[in-house]
Amino acid sequence: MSSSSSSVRRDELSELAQLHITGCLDEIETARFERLLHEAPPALQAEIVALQAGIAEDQTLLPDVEPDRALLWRVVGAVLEAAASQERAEQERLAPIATIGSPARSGMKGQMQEEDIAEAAGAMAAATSDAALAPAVQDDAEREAWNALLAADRWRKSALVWRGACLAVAGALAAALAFNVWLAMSATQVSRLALERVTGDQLRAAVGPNLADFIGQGSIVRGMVGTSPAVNSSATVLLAPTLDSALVMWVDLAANRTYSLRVVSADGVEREAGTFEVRSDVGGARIDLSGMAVTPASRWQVVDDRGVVLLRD
Amino acid sequence: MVVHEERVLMQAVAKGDEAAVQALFERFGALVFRHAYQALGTRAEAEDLVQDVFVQVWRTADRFDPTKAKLVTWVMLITRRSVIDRLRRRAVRPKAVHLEEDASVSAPEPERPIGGEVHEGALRRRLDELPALQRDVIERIYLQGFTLREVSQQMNVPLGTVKSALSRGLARVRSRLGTNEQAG
Repeated sequence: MSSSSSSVRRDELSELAQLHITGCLDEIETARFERLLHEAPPALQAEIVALQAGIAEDQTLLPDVEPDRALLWRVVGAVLEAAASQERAEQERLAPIATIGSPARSGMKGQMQEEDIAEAAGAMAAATSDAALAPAVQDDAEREAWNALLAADRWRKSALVWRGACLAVAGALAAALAFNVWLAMSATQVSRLALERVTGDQLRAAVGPNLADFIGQGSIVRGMVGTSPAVNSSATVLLAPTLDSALVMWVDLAANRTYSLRVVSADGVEREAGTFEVRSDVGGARIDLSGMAVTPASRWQVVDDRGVVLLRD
Repeated sequence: MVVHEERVLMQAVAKGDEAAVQALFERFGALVFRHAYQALGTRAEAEDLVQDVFVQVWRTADRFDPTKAKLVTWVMLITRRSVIDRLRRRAVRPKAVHLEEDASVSAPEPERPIGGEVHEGALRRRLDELPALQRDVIERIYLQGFTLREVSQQMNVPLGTVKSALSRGLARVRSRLGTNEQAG
C-alpha cells in the first residue's frame, strides 16, 4: 500500500469516526466505517479508537448543567427493573405449562390461591414504595415478592390446566357413552326392521301369489288362536270381498301334516271348507268357498288330521 | 488495564449488578445528561432519555468489546442515537431552535440554569462564525437529528460535501470553544 492511499484511508476513517461517534451516520455509512476500521492496520485502529474516545469525552459543545442526584437512583431502579423483568420473562418461558402433584411437591409451601396472590402483590407494592431511597432493599423485597407472585400464578395456571383437561376428558367420555347408546338403539332398530323385512319376505314366499289377491282388496280378516295353552300356533283367515274364497295363513303349525279349515255358521252348523297341507312353520293356502254360504258373521276353526280343533277365532 | 476494568464493569452491568450500574452512572451520567439536555432542552426530557440510555447500555452490555471501542465511545454512541430517535419522534423539532434565536428576545426556559445559557450563547456565536454550509449542516444533523443523506437531499448538495462540512465544522467549533474557555 502506498503512503498516499494510506493517508487517504486515514483521512476517510478519521472523518467517518467523527461522524460515527456523533450518531450522524446511517446504516450504510456505519457499515462502511466498521468495514474500513476492521481492515485497517492495528496501529490505525488504535488511533481511531482513541480519536473516537476523545470526541466522546469532549464536552466543549455541551451545556454546563448537572443532573439531580435522584437521577442516579431512578436510573439504577430502571435498570434493575428491566433486569428483573427479563428474568421473569425467562422464568415464564421456561416454566412448565402444567405440573403434576401437590403445590408443596412443586416447590411451594402450600396451596396459594387468590389471597396469596393479593398478599404477594401487597408486599411488592410496599417494597417499591421507597424505591428511590433504598434500591438494594427494594430489589430484594421486590424479587421475593415477584417470586411469590410467580409461584402462585404458576400454580393457578397449572390447576386451571388440569381442571380443563379433566372437563375435556369427562366431556369426551359422556359423548362416547351417548354415541354407544345411540349405536345400540340404531342396531336394534335395524335388526327389527331387518327381521320384519325377512318375515314379510318369508310370508310372501310361503303364501305365494295368493296373498296379493287378498291384501289391500277389502278382505275380511279373522284371527285364530290356540284352543288350549298347549297350542302355541296361530292362524289368520282372509275372506275375499266376494266371499267365494279364503286365504288361511298359519304360524307354527306342526309341519308335514294335513289340516282342515272349518266354518261354523251363525246357527252353529259346522262344515269343512277345505284342507291344506303344512310344510313349513309359516305358510298359507287358498281355500275355495264356492257354495259354502259363508257370511261375515261366520266363525272359523283349524282342525288337525285327528279331528282335534287346534285353533278358533 | 483500562480495557480489563471496562470489560469487568460491563460484565457486571450485564448481570444487573447494582453497584456496577451505580459506577457506570457515576462515570457517564453527567455526560449523557448534558447531551440529552442540550438536544431536548428540558430537565424532564433529558432525565427520561438518560434513563433510557442506561437501560439500553445494560441491554447491550454483553456485546461490548473493549478492544474495538472505549466504553465512553460505546455509551456516547447509544446516547447520540437515542437523542436522534427522540428528536425524530418529536412533533415539533427541536429545542435546538433556541440556538437560532436572538438571546435577547427569546424567553429563557425557567428551569434552564444560567450556566447553560451562557454556554449556549458562546456556542451560538461560534456557530455564527462558521461558513453558512457548515453551520447549516451542524444544526440540521447534530442538533436536529437528520441523517447525512437526509441533509444532502434537503440542501441538494453531495453527500461527501455534507460529511466534510459537518466534520470540519464540529472540529472548528470544538477547537475555538476550547481555546476560548481556556483563555476565559
